[in-house]
Amino acid sequence: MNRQEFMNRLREALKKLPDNEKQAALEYYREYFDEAGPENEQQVVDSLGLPEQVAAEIYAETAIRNMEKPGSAAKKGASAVWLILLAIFASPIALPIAIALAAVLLALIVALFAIIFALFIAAIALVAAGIAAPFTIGGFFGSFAGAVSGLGVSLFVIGAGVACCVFVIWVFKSAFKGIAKLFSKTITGRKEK
Amino acid sequence: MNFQLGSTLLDACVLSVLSKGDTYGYVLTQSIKNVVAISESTLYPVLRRLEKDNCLRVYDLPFAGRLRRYYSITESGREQLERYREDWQIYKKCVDKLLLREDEA
Repeated sequence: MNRQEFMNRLREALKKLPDNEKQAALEYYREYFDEAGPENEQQVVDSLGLPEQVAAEIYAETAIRNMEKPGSAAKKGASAVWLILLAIFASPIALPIAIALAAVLLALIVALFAIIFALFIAAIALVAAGIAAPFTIGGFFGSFAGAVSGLGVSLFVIGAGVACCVFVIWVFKSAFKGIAKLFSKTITGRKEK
Repeated sequence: MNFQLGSTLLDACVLSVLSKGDTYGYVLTQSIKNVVAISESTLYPVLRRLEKDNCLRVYDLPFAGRLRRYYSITESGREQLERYREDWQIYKKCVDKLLLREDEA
């Protein structure tokens, strides 16, 4: 790794930091390289360690300072947790943990949609049962009263099934919207501040 | 060396170096590195923290067609340094007592 690569990776690792903090850090290391001189460039790169590690230290320092600043406790806590997460994600050793977390999240989403899908199938089955009922129960009763009550039961079941379908579709839509919102917030939400 | 400078001791050492005169990041790092083993990336968070705590201030001077950022200790930085020095005396005695068994000598 040379100076240019180090600085590029550091810039990339620091991109979630507030702009002024990021600029100050990049400025410091740019100056540091200038002072060391081109002949010491490789030695400085080797001594600095991984840019992601350097970034993790800066994130950690910013998180601690944010906790000490006056302001809403909940907001501060949230932003500190966020910065600590960033510090973890920025450090290279944490990559396997990040992958595992992403996998768990994906599994939870798949499970949620599987449950919704199962409910939808159940609702359709209910409608089908309602339609099929007169041909079985009602048909075998023979008497007029039996046929009428059988028809009533099957109409009720059809209605309940349709209502269930509508409800499940609504749940599916709002779950999907919620997840999409969560993702866009995670990716871009920080910048709006 | 098994011992490392913790963040408070680093703060104190940086303030002590700066109390002898203003300097810039590279020289500051080298002058501490010559005495105790620290990585070249150790001081940036320390300097940033001390600046936010008003223990030091920064100013830029042109040098060789670019800017050099100098760090200068403030009055409250000097007061903090005095407190650190007093605490260090006490702390050093306590550790000596435990580690070197000086009370038994």
